[in-house]
Amino acid sequence: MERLEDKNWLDEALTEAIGSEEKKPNFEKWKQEHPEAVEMLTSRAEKGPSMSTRPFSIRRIIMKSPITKIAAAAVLITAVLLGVKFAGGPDAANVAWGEVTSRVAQVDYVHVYWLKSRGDTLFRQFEAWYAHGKLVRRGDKGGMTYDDGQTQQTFDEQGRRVGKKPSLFAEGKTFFELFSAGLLSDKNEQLSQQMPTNVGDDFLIYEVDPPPDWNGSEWIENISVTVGKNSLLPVQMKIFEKDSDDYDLAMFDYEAAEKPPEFFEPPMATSANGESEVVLDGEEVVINIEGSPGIKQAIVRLHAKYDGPADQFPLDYIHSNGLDPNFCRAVSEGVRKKYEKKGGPIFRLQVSFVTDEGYRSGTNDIIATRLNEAGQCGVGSSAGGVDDWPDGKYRNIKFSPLLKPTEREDTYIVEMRCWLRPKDD
Amino acid sequence: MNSNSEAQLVEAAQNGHLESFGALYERYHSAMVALAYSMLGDRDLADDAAQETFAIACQKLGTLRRRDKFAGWLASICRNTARSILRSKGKSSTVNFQERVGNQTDTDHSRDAIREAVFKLKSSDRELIVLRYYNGFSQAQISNVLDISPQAVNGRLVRAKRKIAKYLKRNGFMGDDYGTA
Repeated sequence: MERLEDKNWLDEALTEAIGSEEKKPNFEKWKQEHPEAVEMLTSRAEKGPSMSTRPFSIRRIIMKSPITKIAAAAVLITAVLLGVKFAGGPDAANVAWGEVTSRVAQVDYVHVYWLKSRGDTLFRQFEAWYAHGKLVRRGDKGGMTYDDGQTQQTFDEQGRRVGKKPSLFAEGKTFFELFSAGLLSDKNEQLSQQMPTNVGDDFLIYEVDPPPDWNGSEWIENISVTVGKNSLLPVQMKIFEKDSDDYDLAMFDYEAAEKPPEFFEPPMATSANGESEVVLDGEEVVINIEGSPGIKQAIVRLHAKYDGPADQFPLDYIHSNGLDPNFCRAVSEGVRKKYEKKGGPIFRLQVSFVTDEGYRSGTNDIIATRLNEAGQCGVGSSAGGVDDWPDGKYRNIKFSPLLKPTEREDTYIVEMRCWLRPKDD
Repeated sequence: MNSNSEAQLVEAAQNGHLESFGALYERYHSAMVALAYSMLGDRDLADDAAQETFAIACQKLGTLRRRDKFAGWLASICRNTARSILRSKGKSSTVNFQERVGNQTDTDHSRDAIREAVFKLKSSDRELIVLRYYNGFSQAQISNVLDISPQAVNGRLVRAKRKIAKYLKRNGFMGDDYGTA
C-alpha cells in the first residue's frame, strides 16, 4: 500500500499516470492530410468578408400547430437577439444535451408560460420571469414568488408572505433545472451526453425518462424538450404523466421585453400576527394573535429536533394518531429527502388555534421546519373539517410559522402569520 | 493569452488566411488532444479526434460569431468528435482508462488505480484533471479552453483532486487524508 508523504504526491502521481510527452503540433502535416478542409478555408479569401458578417437568411418554417409556430417565432427572434447564425450551425445529430444546458446557462433573461392539460382542458398554471439570477413567478390566482438568488419568498394573492426558504439558485441551479425539478441538469453525466431522439429541419427533441430514484418518478412518464436547432435554446418542455394523457407544457419565450430591476424586488413582508419564545420539548405556548379577524390565539409546541446523519433519519419522523400511517410515512420520506439534501437541524411543530368565539381548532402535527424558513400550512376544526365547527360556520385557518434561533440553547422564537381563508377563495 | 489577438487570428482565418488558422492549430492542438483523451482514454484515438476537430473547425469557422469564444467553440467540436468515435467503437460512454491501460504493457498498480480514479470522475471534472496533468496546462489556459473563470478552474481542480484522493483512500490505496478535510 502506498503512503502519502507530502501534499505534492497526488500531483506527481497524476502527472505520471496520465501525463504525456508533448507532441509538437505539425500543421504542415495536418494540411497535407486535410486538403478539402484547407480548400474550404482558403476559398473564403476569394469570396471576401466571412460569412458570419453577412446578414443571415431566415428559412421558411412550415408548421401545423399554432403553438409550434409561436415556439418557432420565439426561436427566430431569439436568434436575432442573440446573434445566432442560421446558415450552417452545429451538426444537429451530434448536439448532446450538455451543450444545450451550457447554452441555457448563458441566457440572462427568459419568460416562461406554464400550462396544464387535464382532460379536455388546457389552463394556465403560472408565468415566470428569470433575469440575471433572479426569478419572479406569478401564479394563476395572483400569488407571487420572488427568488433573489439568496432567499425565496412566497406571497399569497393578498400580499401576505406565506413562505420563506433559501433560494433554489443558491445550489447553482440554472432556471431550466429549476423548471424541470432538477431532472434536466447538466450535472447528470448520462443525460449530458444524450443525443436528440428526433432531429427535424428546425428543432431537436430530447426525451428523458426519470431515473427510478428521482423524486417524482412515480408520477412522471417522461419529459420531452424541444430545442431550437440553431439557437440550442429550449422552446418548450412537455412533462407527461404516467397512465394518463395529461401533461404539463412549459413554453420558453426569450424575446419579451426584459422586466425592469424593480419588478424582481419582493414587497415588504407583512409583520407577524404574533410571536413567542418556545422551548424545545417543553410545554405548549399560547401566542396572542393580532390583526387577523376571527383568530384569537395560536397554540404551539416545538419538539423532535433532529440533526443526526441523514442515513439514520427516523422513518417515522412524522407520525400522527389521526392520520393514515402510510400517509405519514410518505411525508416522513419527503422530509428525509429534503434533510439529506439541505441538512439540519430540523424540528417538528404542533400548531392549533382558538377562534374569537373560543373554539379550538384541530392540531396540525405534521409540520417539519428548519430555522428561518417558513411554509404555508392549514388546519380546520377539531372534528377535522373546515365547515363542521360547533356553530356550523366555515373556517379554514391558514398559517405560516417561522422559527428563529435565540442565544439560548433549545430556546427559539416562533413568529406566526395566520388568517382565515374565505370559502369562495 | 491575448484575446484580442486571438479574435484577430480567428477573423483572419474566417477570411481565408490559412497561416492564421495554422497559428490557432498550434495554439490549441495539445489542448484538444488532452480533451479528447479525457473522453476516449486512448492517446492514438485522442490524436485522431484532435485532427478531425480542426478539420471540422476549418470548414465551419464561418459560422462562429463570438470570435473571442473560439477555444470553447473548438472544445465543443472536439467533444462531439470524441463522442462520434466512441459511438463508432460501440461505446456508449467514456472508455475505461484501466481497460485501455490493460491492453498496454503498463501494469503498475498505482498508475492503474489513479487512472481508474480519474475515470470515475464526472466528465467535467475529468476534463479539468486531464487538461491539467496530461500536458500541464496552466489554470489560465484551462480557463480559456473550458470557458470558465480561472477561479472556477482552481476550485473545481481542488474538488476533483479531493474526489480522487477519497476514491484512492476508499480503495485502500492511500493511508493519508490528502485534502479531504
